Amino acid sequence: MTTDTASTTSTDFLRTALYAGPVSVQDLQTKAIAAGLLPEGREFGQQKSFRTAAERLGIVRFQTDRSWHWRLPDGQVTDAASAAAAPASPASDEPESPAHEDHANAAGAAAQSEDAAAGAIAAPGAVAGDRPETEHDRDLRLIRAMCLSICPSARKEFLREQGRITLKLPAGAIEAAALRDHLTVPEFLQNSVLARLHQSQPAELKAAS
Amino acid sequence: MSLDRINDAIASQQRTIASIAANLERAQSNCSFGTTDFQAVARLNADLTSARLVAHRLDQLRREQTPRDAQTDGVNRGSVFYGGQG
Repeated sequence: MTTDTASTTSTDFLRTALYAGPVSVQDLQTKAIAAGLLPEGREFGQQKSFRTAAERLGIVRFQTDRSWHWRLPDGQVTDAASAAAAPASPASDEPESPAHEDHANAAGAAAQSEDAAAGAIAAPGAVAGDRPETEHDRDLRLIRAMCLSICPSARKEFLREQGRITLKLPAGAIEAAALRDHLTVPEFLQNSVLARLHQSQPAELKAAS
Repeated sequence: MSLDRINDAIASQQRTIASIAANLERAQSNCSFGTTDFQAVARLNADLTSARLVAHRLDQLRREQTPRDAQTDGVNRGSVFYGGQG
């Protein structure tokens, strides 16, 4: 593993480990060993990759009860969590250039039941009768949004119909692909997304799985 | 590595998992999947998986450290792999 890769890995590790708040260096050391990022017996604070990662993240070090703790700088987790949790800007029904016609806009909308049956994702405003989105609708919407992320070629099939963006997928395609891999649909989609994300993940984490 | 240290790390990791899972759930409930939001959700998903892998490995370490006869009490304190929500 190159030095740069190691520090990137350590950065991800620290960001995740400190997500819920301050963690003692002792706990960080144990977790780092478990993650395969630190040889047993090596001091966490002495590992160059972690020192580099700490600088990169602006880690705050402090001492309580005679033990050292690390935490992310103020606002870092909160900001990330808020960004993830904040409602997205509604996808516009106004015509826009193809460059802005991304899959996420289409995926962001609630699907009509008949569209869902046909494997379509419709933009906001496409729900017939403005009926509330059911839990099943939501699951379909999330699943199909994830599907788009693992199927870039599907972007070519975005259609613009009556001011809304729609993606047509073959009915049952997702279910069939999941069945082929002996997985449930959510498992299949999550694995697919994660497989892509993990292409840049550390070998240790892949091995640990 | 002592069992106490492993248990402390597991407790800390469970808090981490619960926190990420809660934010993931919140993000999935609220967002309408604009590009940025979807990336944030995907990142949270990846973080959650990484956190669970570490928890899983910590659990393995605990089992390795726990004397065999002590492993028969109850359900070995339960697996931490699915700790937290999600």
